[in-house]
Amino acid sequence: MDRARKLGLIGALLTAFSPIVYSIDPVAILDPNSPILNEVYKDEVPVSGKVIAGVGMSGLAVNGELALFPKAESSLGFACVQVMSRDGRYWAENTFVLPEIDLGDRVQVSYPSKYNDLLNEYDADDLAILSYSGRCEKKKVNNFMVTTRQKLVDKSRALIVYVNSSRADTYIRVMNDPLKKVTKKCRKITEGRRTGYDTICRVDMSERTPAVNPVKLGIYRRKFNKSLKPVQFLVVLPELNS
Amino acid sequence: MTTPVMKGGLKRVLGIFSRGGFLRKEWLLLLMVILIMSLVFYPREKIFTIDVSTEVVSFRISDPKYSEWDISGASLQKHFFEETEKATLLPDDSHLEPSKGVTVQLQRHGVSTIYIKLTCDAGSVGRIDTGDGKYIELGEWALISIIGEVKPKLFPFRGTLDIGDDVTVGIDSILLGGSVSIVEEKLLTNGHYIAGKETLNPGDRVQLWKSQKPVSKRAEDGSCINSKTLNVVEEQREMSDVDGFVRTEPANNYFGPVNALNLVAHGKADYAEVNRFGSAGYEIKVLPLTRFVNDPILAILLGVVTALLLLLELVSKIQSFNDSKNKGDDIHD
Repeated sequence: MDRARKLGLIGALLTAFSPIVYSIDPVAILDPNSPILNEVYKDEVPVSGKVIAGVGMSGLAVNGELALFPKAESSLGFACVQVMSRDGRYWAENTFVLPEIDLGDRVQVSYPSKYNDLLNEYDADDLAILSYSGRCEKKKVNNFMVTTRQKLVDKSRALIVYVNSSRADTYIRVMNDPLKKVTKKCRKITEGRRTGYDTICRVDMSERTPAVNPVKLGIYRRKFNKSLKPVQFLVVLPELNS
Repeated sequence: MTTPVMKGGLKRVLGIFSRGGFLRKEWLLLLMVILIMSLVFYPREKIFTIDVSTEVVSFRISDPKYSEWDISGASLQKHFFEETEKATLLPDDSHLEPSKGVTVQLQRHGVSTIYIKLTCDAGSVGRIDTGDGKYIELGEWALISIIGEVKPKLFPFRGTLDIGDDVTVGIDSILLGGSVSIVEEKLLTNGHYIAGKETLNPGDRVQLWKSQKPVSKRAEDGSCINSKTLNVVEEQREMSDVDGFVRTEPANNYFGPVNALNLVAHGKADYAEVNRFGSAGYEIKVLPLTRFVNDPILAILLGVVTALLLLLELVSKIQSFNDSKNKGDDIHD
């Protein structure tokens, strides 16, 4: 084979594989200041008192196991990622450095967990991921970004909020979208251990996305004759073209 | 010393087990082991009995007629979002008629108010017969509070059961203590025996399960619709239906105050799942091999087979002794 034909073949191969090369998402890596993943997996469960355990979205395409949808303004900044299993056995909180991102970019998270095999066994509803801009030391947060996992890809498109309701009856309400300002009952998990969180709220996104971004959500809980303090927070939605 | 008739009979018996005989010892032994093992592993009916004291219990009603309750004098709230809703005082002879599939949660701390919460994802949780020919129709959510009851109350039910709660932040009602017993069917008879008993610790959460995958079913007309009823959630196993009752004692009981809710329930199940704080939890089940110890019929059968094997061994030894004696006689002749 002469030199020209060899070069032509290499060129053809590169052209054939180019969509794959270009479809690789920018990757967030662990903060170099704390390069070892801060994670725990044990039966003596760590317990979190936070009402919102995770915010995710199903039905989005994703490369790798875990992805975030940060705002373009967060480019080259930090993102805190908290991961908690429904049974409370796995818990992690780590700061990641975001890559350079454009509007609507999906960021793949490099998550070097020594429990990856165990994490992959958790079903779609059994692992909650909560992420927000900034370092994890940030105390008061009510503005979250959407996360997703490989196991949520095949589900219908919906915004999912994982709630530690204290076993109260729970409802979710979209506060700032007039067309979607409906109150929806959340599903209480009844099976198995619920130390991490016990309720899953879904806001359907299959037909249309809310007209506003970020979307303001309210979680309302009632425990027998007593209403618990409502929790309101913002979620930055990804640019959903497909 | 043996008579000729006895000698002939013994020879015939020995002949059965001889090398050319139609029942060789090895085959008989194998047959008996297979018989015993198949009797040990043959599935049997197991009834789980739960006897606990708890502050919280939930059940999903599968038979509404079996689960009607007297709620005379209780107060009713029907609206989830209206905490300040003025409660309706129910007249005497009021009865709760729950819908099929409704999730009922009972809660009580000490001897204080008894709360009965009824929830559905969609549809109606049921209605209240006020005893005067009128009904109060209920929506997706209802809270019935029984305050200052002066006599004991009994709440029977048929449905799936979830006792206690996982210990975590924000939980104030837990299982206080009790036990799970497993009663198993005796071999070849209608009798039963206690195959095991486990003590439950405060803070445990208990559910009864069947091993097989649930069959898909649709909600019936007029029933309370929830994700479980519609099988929206894919499940690998199905909770067992149990019959049971909750008894509550008044604060001024003759024997002094009796805490919280006392629950007794019986039902067929394959295992009980116990979630325990600070551990991976465990399952309560009967292992087939423990039937050797617990089932008297199987123990007797095993004894008989062992005696038979000993007899076979004895016969075999007599036979080899006779053979060697005959050989000795032939050499002398």
